[in-house]
Amino acid sequence: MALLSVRDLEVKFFMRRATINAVNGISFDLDAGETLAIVGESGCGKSVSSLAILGILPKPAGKITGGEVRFADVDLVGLPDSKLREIRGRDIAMIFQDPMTSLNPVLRVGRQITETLRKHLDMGKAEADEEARSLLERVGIPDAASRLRDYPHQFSGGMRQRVMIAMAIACRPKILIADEPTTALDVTIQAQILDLLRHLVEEENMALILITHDLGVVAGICDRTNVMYAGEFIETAPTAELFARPRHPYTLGLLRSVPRLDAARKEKLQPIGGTPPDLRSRPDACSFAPRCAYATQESRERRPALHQIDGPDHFVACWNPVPVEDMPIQGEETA
Amino acid sequence: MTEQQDLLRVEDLKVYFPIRSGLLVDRHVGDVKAVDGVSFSIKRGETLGLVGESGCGKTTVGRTVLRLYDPTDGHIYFDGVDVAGLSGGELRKLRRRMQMIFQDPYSSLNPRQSVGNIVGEPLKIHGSSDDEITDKVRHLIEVVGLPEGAANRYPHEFSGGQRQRIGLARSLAMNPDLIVADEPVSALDVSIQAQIVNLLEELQDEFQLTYLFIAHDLAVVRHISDRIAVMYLGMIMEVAPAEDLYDRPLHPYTKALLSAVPIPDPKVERGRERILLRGDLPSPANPPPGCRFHTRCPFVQKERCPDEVPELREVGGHTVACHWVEEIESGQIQPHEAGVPV
Repeated sequence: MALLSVRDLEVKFFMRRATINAVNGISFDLDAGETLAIVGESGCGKSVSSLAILGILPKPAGKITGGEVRFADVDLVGLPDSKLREIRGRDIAMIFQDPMTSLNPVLRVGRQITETLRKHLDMGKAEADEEARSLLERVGIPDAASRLRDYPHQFSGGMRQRVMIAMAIACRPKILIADEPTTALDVTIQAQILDLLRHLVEEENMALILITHDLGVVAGICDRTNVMYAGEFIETAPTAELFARPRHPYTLGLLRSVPRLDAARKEKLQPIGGTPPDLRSRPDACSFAPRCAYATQESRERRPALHQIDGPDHFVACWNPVPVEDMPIQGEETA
Repeated sequence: MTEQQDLLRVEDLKVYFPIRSGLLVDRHVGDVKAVDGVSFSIKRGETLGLVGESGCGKTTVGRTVLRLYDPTDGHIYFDGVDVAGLSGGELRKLRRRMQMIFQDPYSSLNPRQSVGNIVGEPLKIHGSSDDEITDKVRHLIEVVGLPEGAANRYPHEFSGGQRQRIGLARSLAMNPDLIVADEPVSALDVSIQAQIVNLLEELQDEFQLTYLFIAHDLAVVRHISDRIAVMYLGMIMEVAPAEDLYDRPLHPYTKALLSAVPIPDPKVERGRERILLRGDLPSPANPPPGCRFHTRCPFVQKERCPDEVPELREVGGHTVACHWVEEIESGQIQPHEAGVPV
């Protein structure tokens, strides 16, 4: 049985003048030690999905309007706050894009780490302090014992993200959700943080949900990739398969629109035309159809559902999937 | 190449920002050496990419070229004239030939002005008639691919990508020779990034533009640039033709930077050898002596690196600032194994 099982999760934001269909029925399973990616552009609903799983949607506008989130045989949707609070931090932890705004600026980082330990694991002060020190060492912060007494502003961006990770893994959670954990960081620091996450997953047998817009980051770390567009998963497959044989035109479009460092320079990039859809309305059609070169009459009239294609683990929601001859050719030959 | 072909030539540029302290007496206690002796040149019609991590001084270089900041020392020759020494009317006259596009398409457009006014304002300031302005604005809006009628609408009605097009239209209004583009696509989604990158290239051909393209995304910079300069802590580490820099980086920092960029292909990505750098960027207020990079360099040597600033010199078609580049290339000096925190 899967560790976490999300079924038909639906999130809406009820605003004064409009209702925003942020997440429109996503489903996935996550096993221990597995790394799952949710990839998409801004506004596609990837962050909202993770907030919904943890029950921390902005109130009162955001509401889960359907589906279930089963963790250890308990449906987290509709669970009272007090119960959710026990699970958050202990079993499921989250790190955010911007470590500065997610740390409390007026508390020493040591205090912020020990708080979790004392609350969830009932540790005494001395024990918690010692554990906090070893956590900072674990995430590669030099001189850990003295850095515990520092405030967040005394750390650099990369070090702050390490502190966030230390806090998140303090209670040895079974699941870590990382929402754009390296987007605010420079590439050399990004490489350090991804390396750290990779080690943690291996050594602690932790499951990781990585939410990102960067296909390069996904390629290096994730077992399975879900591509999200307009609040839906439009394609899901093992990462290697998805990159080698993207069958949804949007996935192919994403891969083609980014220049690659290792391929010969192309004359032109191939952008995806148009702009992302307005999530206020949800017509009965493929949400990508207006931007899609492969769209058919059917795409404009009926909404496609995820269905199996190619391998047993590859699913796509498209009426007219990309034909095999249009596939990207891997590696050197991308030229 | 003769010097006449250089549209922009920067020589030993230094930009220091003073650190002040004291409540009643304003004491000058030090300097943030944002740019500390940078030299490069751009030929007419060429695109020079300027890359580096946050805090390396690349934005300061771009802004100082336009004299949005005053240089502390050094020369900036634009079409033969030293911009560093100009002021008042002369500076303004020269400035219309150089324009800037900014990173954030949200904060760089006045929300209370219509697109027509935003794009037409430079023309108005430089004394065009109303009819001329209307014509020119209509033309510019078409050139950058904005919908017809955009002139009467306001910035908030447009998406990020379209706003970046508005910024581009504004910068083209004065028929500039040089455009300094400071992270023009990094705030945009990937599917939109490609649209703007392609547009920048089309405009360059159409208007014979010269670009100083500042960005941290190495894949985008490589795509658009003819040559690339790599900066670290206020200094240039390496300059090379774009293709060559990626095929054969010489400076240890360039090597590390390139190896850190993830490649969207699991087969390639998982087999790559990565040079993980130790630690963080040192503070530009108190940069390390000698080679700026020696505190994080995997090839660092006890001799020269800690106490002698390496000069930029020609090595195999690149310009590199490293004492040991030949020895590293020949394999005499191997990277150190230890010291990578994780």
